[in-house]
Amino acid sequence: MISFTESQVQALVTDVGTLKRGQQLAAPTNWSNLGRTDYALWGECAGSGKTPYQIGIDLHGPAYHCNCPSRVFPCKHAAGLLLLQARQPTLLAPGPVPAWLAGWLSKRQASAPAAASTPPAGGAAPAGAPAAPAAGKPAKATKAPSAKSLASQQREAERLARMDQGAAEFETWLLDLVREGLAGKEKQPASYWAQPAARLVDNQLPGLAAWVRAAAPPAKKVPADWAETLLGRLGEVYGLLRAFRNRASLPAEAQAEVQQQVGLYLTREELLADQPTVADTWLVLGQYSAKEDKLNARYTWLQGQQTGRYALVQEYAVRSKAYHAPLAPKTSYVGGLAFYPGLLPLRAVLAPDFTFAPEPSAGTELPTPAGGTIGELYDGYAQALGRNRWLRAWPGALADVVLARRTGGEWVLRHESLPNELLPLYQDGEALNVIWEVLALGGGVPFTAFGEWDGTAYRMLEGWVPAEDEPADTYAPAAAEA
Amino acid sequence: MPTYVPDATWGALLPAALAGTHRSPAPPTLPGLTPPLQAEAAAAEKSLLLTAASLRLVRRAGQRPATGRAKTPRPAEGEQWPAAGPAVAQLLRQLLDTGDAQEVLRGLVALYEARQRLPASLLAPVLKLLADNAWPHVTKLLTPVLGRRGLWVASLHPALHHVARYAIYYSVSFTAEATHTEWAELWRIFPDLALCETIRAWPAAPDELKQQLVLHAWEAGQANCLPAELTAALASVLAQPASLAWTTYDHLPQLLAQVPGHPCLAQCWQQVVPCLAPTRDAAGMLRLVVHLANLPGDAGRQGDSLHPVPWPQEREEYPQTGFQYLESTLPENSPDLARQVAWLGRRLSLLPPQRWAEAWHLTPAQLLDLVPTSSYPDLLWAAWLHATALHRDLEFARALLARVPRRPNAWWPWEIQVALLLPEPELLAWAEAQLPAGADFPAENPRAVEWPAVLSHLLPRATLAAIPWPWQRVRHPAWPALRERLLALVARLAAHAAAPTLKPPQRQRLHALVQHLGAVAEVSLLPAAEAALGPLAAGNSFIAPDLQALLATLRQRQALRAALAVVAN
Repeated sequence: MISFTESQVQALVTDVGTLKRGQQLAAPTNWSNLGRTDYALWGECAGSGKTPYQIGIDLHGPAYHCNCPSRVFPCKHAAGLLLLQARQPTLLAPGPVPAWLAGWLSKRQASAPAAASTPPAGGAAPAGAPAAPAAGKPAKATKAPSAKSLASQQREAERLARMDQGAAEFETWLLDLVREGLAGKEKQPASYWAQPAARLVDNQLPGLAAWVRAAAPPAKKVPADWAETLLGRLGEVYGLLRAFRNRASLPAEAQAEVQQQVGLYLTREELLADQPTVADTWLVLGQYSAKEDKLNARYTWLQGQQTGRYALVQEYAVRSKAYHAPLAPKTSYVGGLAFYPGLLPLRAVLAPDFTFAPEPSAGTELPTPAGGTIGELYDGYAQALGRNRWLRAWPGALADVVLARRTGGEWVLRHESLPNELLPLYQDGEALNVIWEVLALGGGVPFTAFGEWDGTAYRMLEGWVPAEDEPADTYAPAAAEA
Repeated sequence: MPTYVPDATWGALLPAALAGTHRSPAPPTLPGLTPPLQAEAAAAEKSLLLTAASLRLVRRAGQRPATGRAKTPRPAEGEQWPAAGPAVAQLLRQLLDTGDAQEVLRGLVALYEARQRLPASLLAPVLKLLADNAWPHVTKLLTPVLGRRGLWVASLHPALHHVARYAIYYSVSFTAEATHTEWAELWRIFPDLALCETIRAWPAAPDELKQQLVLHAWEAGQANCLPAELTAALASVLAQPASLAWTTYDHLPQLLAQVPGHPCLAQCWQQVVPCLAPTRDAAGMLRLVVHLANLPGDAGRQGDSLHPVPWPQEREEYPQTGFQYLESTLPENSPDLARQVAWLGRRLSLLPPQRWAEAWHLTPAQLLDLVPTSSYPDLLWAAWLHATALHRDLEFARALLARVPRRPNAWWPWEIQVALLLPEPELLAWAEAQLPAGADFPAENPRAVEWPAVLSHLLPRATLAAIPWPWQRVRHPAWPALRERLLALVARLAAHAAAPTLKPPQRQRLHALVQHLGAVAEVSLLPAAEAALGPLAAGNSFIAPDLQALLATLRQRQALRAALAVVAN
C-alpha cells in the first residue's frame, strides 16, 4: 500500500501557496466520504458552493484529479488530502473506488506505458566512481532520431548561426581582455562581466554566459589569489568556446557535451525519444535550490540501487511556480531515467514510468548510501574530470564522518580515523541548515554524508545519522465527521 | 597531458596575464599545446588562455584533501527529560510549518508544562526560530525543552550563543561559581526553590549576591521573612546604583513601594513637599500649585538612584514610566524645565498618593478634583496614576479612573494597570465601557483607535503570561471573564461584517480584534468559540477566513494539549 509521510507530501507540493492552503484544508472537518485502495485516495472537500469538490489521487506518480476550477496541480484540495492521509491515515478506510473516480483511474492505467527494461550501463559502480558506459559503446541513441520538419531544421540552423556569431563576438572580447591584461579587473563592477554574459544569452548561449558569470571575481572580500582563479576560469571559458566553434570535428559525445555546456539543450521530449532509459529503483540522496539568472533552479541527486549509478535532475521554475518533478529527499522511486548524452552522462530527465515507490514495509527504513572516504571522493573527482573537463560538481557519499571546526569557525568534515584530512564545506543558506540538522539529529556521532564536491568545497545535502530510540505514544487523533 | 606541472609555469603565466600580452613577452605554454595555434591570429592570447585552462584542470584533478587542525565538538551529554512522542512531534511540526512563531512558542510552553523535550528531529527548525526571534526571557524558560542536545547545538550556533549560556538553568544544583546575574535568573525560572531558606542556609554567600537574591525575592513577595536583609540590601543598592543589574535597578520603585518606612522615601518626601501645595487664590478658590522654583538646584541635571531607566526593547509588554511625553506639552526650547518636570513626576510616583491626601486632610476624590486647577495637570495625572499602580491603592484607583481626562487617541501610561487593581466586576464594567458598543465601529471614539493595543495590556498574550515574571501579577483573576467578553465582542461585530458600509479602518480593527482573540484565547474557550463563531466562519464575509483560521488554531492547540496529556498519563 502506497503512503506518503508529511515531509514527502511537502516535497511533492512544491508551490508554497498551494501547500499553505492545503495545510488549512487538512482538518478532518473539511472532508467527507474519504477512502482509499492500495494505490488511490479519494474524498470530498467542502468548497464555497453547495456541492463539495471531489478529489482523487493516483498514488502511482502521483497524479491528481479534482473538479475545482484551479489549474494548479496538485491543487490545494489534493494537497490537503495528501496531508490528511499523512497525518491521520486511519481516516481513509479501504473501500470500493467511487464511480466518479473509477473512470479516471482506469483511463490512467490503460495509458500508462510499460516500464522501460533497457539494461543498465556498466553494472554496479562503487560510490564515488564514475559510472562508465557499456564497454566499447559510446553513449549514443539506440533508437532512431525523431524526424524533424523542414521548418524546424531551418530554425535550428538559424539558431546555430546566431550562436556562432555570438561566440565569435565573445571571443573577440575575451582576447582583447587578455591582450589588455587582467590587472585591475578585480575592481570592476559586476556590470563589467554581466554585460558580455547578457549578450551571450541574447545570442542563445546561456550556458556559456553562466560560465562567464561564474568566472567573475567576487565583488566583496576579493581573495588574494583572485588573479590565478580568474585566469584559470577564463581559460576554461575559452576552452569551451573554442570547442564549440570546432564542434564539427569532435566525437559525438564531446559534441553533445559541449553543446549542452554552452546552452544548446535537447528538450525533454527529444531526449525521451532519442535516448534509452535506465531502469532502476532510484533513491533521492539530496536536493538543493539555487538562483540562476532570474530563474529558480533545483538540483536533485539520485542513485540507482541496482546500478549504483548517479543521476542529476535539474529543474527550473519562474518565481514561486512549482517544479515539474515531484522528487522528495530520502525517498525511493522506480522507473526509468533518460540521460543527456555527453562525456560523462549525469544529468537526466524522468521517464513517464517514473513513480514513487512505497516503503518496503512498516518500520523499515530506506538504505543508507554506501559511503567512501574523503580521499576516494577526491580520486573520483579526478577521474571524472579526466573524462569531462567541464564537470561542474561530482557527487559522493562519505561514511563515518564527523563535523569539525577550524580555528576561524568554518565547518569541515573529517573521518574519525583520519583526523588530519579535512573536507571544507559550503556554509551558505541551505548548506548551513543541513549542518545544524545533522548536529541536532546526531549530537556529534559519526554519520554518512552525501553531497557534491566542486573542487572548492563540499556541498553537504543530507546526513544519515544512526537512529536513536524514539518514544512511542498511543495518541489517537479525533475522527472526521461523517 | 603532463603528469607534473612546475609551479614556475604558473609563476610566469600570471605576470603576463596581469600585464597583458601586448606588453609581455610570449608567455610560457605547456609542451604539446602551441603548434596548432601558431597559424592563428591572436595566438599569444589563445595560448595563454589554453595553458591556463590546462593548468587549472591539472590543479583541480590533482587536489588532495586539505590538512590542518579542526576541533570536533564534544558530543552532547545524555538527556534528563523524555522526548515528546511522534504524535506530539507531528503536531509541533505542523505548527512550525505554519510559520507562526507565537503559536510555536505556545506549543513549546505546553511541552515545558508537560516536562517533555523536543525530539532531535525538531531541534534544528526550533533553534532557527529562536535565532530569528528575540525572546531571551522565554528562551531561558524553555532550555529544558531544548534539552542538553539543543543547548549543545546552540553553543555551536553563532546566533544562539546566548541560549547556550542558559545551560545553567538546566541544572538545579547550585554552585558557588555562578555569577550574581545567573543566580538571580535561576531563581526566576524555578521560583519554588524556597529562596529564603537557601539564603539562610548559605551564610557564606557573598554579601552582594545575597543582596541581589533578597531583592529578587522581595519583587515577587517571597522575602517577607527577611525584612532586615532587605533593608540592608536596599541601602547597599542605593549607595551604588551603577553596579546593579538593570533588572534590579528597574524595580526600585516597586521595591520601595513595599517598604513604606524606608529612609529613602522620607528623603524623597522632604524634597517634594515644598513643590506642591493647595492654595487659595484671590477668589477664594482652592488650587493645587506646583512650585518648580522650590526644586533642588540640581534636580534633573544629575542621575541618581531613583532615576528610572528606559525599558529594553523586549520588555514591550511593560508600560513605560510615561514622563517623556510631558516634554511635548511644555514650551519649546525649555530643556531645563522639561527635566525638572520629569524629575518631579518621578518623585511623585514613588510616594504613596494617600500620603498627600492625609497631609492636606483631603479625600482621594477631593485631591484629584484639584488636579485640573494646577498649572501642570498632565504631570499630576501621570504621576498619581503611576503611584496608584505601584502602591496598589484601590481608593485612589477608583477616584482616578472616574476623573482622569480622556487623552485624544491615546491612553495614559499606567491607566490600565490602575484599572487592573479593581475587583473583577468593576474591572469588567470598566473594560466594557472602553470597547465599542453595538454594531458600530465608532470613528469618533478616540479610544476606539487604540483599543486593540489596550487589549494587549488588559489581556496579555497567554503564551507570555504562562511565564512566571516575578514583577508582574500574571493570571489576573479577571482574565477568563475578559476573554469571554472579547469573544462575545468579536461575535457581535463579525455578525455585521457583511455590511457594505463597513470602511477599511473598521475592517482593520476587526481583523486586529480577531487576531488578538487568537493570541489570548485558552483552549478552554474552544467550545464557546465554535458555538459563537462557527456559523460566521462558514459564511462569505471578509472576516470568515480569519475566523476559520482562529478556530483551526484553537483546535490545533487542543490537539497538542490532548496529545501531551495522554502521554503524561
